[in-house]
Amino acid sequence: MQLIKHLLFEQYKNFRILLRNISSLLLLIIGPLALILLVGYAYSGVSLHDINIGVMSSNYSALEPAFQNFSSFANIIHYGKTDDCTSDLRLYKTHVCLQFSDDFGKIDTNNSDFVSGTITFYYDNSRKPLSNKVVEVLSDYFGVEAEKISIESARSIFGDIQDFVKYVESKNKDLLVMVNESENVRLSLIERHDRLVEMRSEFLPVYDQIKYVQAQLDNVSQRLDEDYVKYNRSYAKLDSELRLLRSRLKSLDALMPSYELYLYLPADEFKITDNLSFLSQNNLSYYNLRKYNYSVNLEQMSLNISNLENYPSVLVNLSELGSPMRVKLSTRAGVDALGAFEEVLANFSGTTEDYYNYLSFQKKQFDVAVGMIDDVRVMLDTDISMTEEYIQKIDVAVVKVRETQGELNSTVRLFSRFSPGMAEKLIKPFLKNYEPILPNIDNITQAYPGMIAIIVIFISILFANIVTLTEINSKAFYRNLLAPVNKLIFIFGLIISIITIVFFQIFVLLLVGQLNFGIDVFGVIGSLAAVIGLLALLFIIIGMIISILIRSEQSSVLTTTFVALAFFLFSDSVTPIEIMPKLAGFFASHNPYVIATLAFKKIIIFGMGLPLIANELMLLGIYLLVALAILVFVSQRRLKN
Amino acid sequence: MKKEVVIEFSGVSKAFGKKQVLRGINLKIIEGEIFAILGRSGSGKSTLMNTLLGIYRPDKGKVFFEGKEITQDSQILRKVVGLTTQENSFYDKLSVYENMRYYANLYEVKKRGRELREHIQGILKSVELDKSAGVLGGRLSGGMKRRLDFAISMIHEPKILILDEPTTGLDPLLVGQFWDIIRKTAKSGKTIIVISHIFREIEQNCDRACILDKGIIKKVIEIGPKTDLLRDFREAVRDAAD
Repeated sequence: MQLIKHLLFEQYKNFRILLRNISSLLLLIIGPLALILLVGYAYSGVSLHDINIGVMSSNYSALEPAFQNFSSFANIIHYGKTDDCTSDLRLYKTHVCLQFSDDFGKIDTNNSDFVSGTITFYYDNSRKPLSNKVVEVLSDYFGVEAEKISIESARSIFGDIQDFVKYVESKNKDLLVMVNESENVRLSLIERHDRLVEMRSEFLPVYDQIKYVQAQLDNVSQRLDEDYVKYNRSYAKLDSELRLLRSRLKSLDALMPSYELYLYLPADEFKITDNLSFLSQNNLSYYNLRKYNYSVNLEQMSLNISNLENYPSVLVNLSELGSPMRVKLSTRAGVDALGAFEEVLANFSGTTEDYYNYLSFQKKQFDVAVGMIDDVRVMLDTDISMTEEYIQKIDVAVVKVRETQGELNSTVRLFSRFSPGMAEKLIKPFLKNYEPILPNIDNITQAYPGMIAIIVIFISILFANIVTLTEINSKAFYRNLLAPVNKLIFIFGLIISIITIVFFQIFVLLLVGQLNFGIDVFGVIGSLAAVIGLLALLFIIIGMIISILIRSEQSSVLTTTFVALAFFLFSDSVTPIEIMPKLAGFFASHNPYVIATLAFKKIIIFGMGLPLIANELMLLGIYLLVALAILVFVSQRRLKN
Repeated sequence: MKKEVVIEFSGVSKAFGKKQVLRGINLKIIEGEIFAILGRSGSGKSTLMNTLLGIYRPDKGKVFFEGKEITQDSQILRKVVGLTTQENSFYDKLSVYENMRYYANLYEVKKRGRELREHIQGILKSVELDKSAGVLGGRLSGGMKRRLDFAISMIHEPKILILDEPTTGLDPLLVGQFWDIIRKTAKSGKTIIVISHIFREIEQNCDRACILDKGIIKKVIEIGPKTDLLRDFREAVRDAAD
């Protein structure tokens, strides 16, 4: 209770003093207001002005119309030499120098027929934010111009690609027709194959039968050959016997007296006689048989003359003939019969040979025919197997054609994506199409978290430093130290007083943010207050520590300012942390200003709640505890004198 | 009635680094007296007082309050000691009354409300500032500031008052006026320790005085009508120089 009472009286005293201090009042209201308005005004600008651009080009007059695009914010100065421009750049007379290559904007007729050229930007990187902005605006303009040219070129290329695609598509259709025709051929081949197979199935039984007949014929022929050999042997023997017989008959005939036989026609019947005298006597006409062909039939005992004059055929009965004549005639008949037999036999032999030869010929003809049939079969088999082979080949070819067609189609699909309308996409492979996650956010809202953080830091540290210095350097404070109370009462009393004032100042900032800049601050005031509280307390304590350690007002305020600036500069406010060396980056990323800015961004811009800024709060809390421990230690040690 | 020893320094020594500021101080201050400590600049007067107030702890020796050693516990003494410094130890931006009210709280004055207001008014009246209660401390005249400082040192009714150069910067009229207040206060039973180098004021207003030189108590003098402090001081300093 006593403690609270002490603290209340500390507040009573502090506020009385503060409110009667004009400078405190100014710092309380006008300072933060002016700061937020000035900084807010500075951040609210979006466009450049009063920029001097130095240009070096051998073709300046041709480029001059393009520079009219910059006339709203820049003055163009033509330089003859790059060194002159960069010298002026160092002297802050120009903000950027552009050197255009000699071929800039001209068509390269030697190679691609494309418009080409190079712009070299010379800029002062010690004025990085401004230089970056200027270079960005200029390069954007030239980038757009270059893109226009490139897009035209790309359109032409894509037009060609599209033509190529159409050509390939038409060829692909031809290929499809070929495939279809191949299919038809294949179907015809299959049909033919089926017919051939059917023919073979019909042919094979007949063929087998023919082969069977051929085999049988071979057997018969073989037997015929054997019989023929036997026949020839028998014939030779017979012939020999016949010769012997003929010889004997001739011998017999020779034994018989030779005489002439005469045919005469006593009446109506021809008769034979060897008695020429009889015929002369009787005055009978006769015919010498020697002159005529005749045959004797011993069984009927008749003689037959076929070529007798005026008589086509004459049959003479020999039964009345005498034995010698009859023997003679018989011998003669026997010889004739033998001759006839031999003739017949010879004829027969000739016929047999002819027949044999005929048969052999016919068999050969048959074998030739069967051989031809064999050839037909072989041809049939070959044709079938070749047809099958063709079908397989067509199948493989069709598969290959289909595969090729598929690949062609996929390639065509790949190429068919390209159209002249896509030229812009090709020119900007890494999109320049920016899609901001907060598309409508304005500059002031983007800058506000950083502003709040730095203003809180500066207000807290400087105000705490000045107030603490005023208090501990006041004559009254000596008396306070002699009072029978814990010295920390004064320290915590000061902290409470300062934080109250700082909170009021920050409230003004938030109010301006809400009312003037339209940022929804009070919608997230809970989370915001937590971060602001920790940040303000941390820097109030740092300011107090500095004031306790450095009692000289000027030195202390200067030190405090440097410390605050160090927190501000050793952050991502000027250079991105990722560009810093690793160690520096580590410390910068743990800078309370960076942490608080991040937390404010999360709260104000992204509308995140306390759970999502827990890490930042925890870090700030740890810093605060450490700072508080240092403050207690320092105040116990140093607030004696 | 025998007066009690209120404060006793027994063999107190204090050094800052190699510089020995106090050397075996033995001193007793009696209840209700006005005791003066005389010495040149750098003689150790302020160090002696700061040791008494517990701001410094002696390297050697002991400090007693009413017979109780307080060397390690200065809080006891702080509750019963009032201090008027060479400079005015109050807030310029607070009024006379506000300063009184603030220190009444700080020094844990038990009174409340009307009683406290009457208490403050009583003290202010005793220093003749009751009519200036609403005036800011910074706007007071030099004499009024000294009186306000004195009034503040009495806010918690201390048994001992330490007055460090109480009349520095005051015109002679105000000096007499201020010493009247001190004497009046002493008569109320408070022990007053005055640190000064204005021998005439001490001769006229103090009961005893000690001469401190180079951290050593050279002499303790009972001040009477024939006391010549300047001569005593010169003798003591000369002896030391010899």
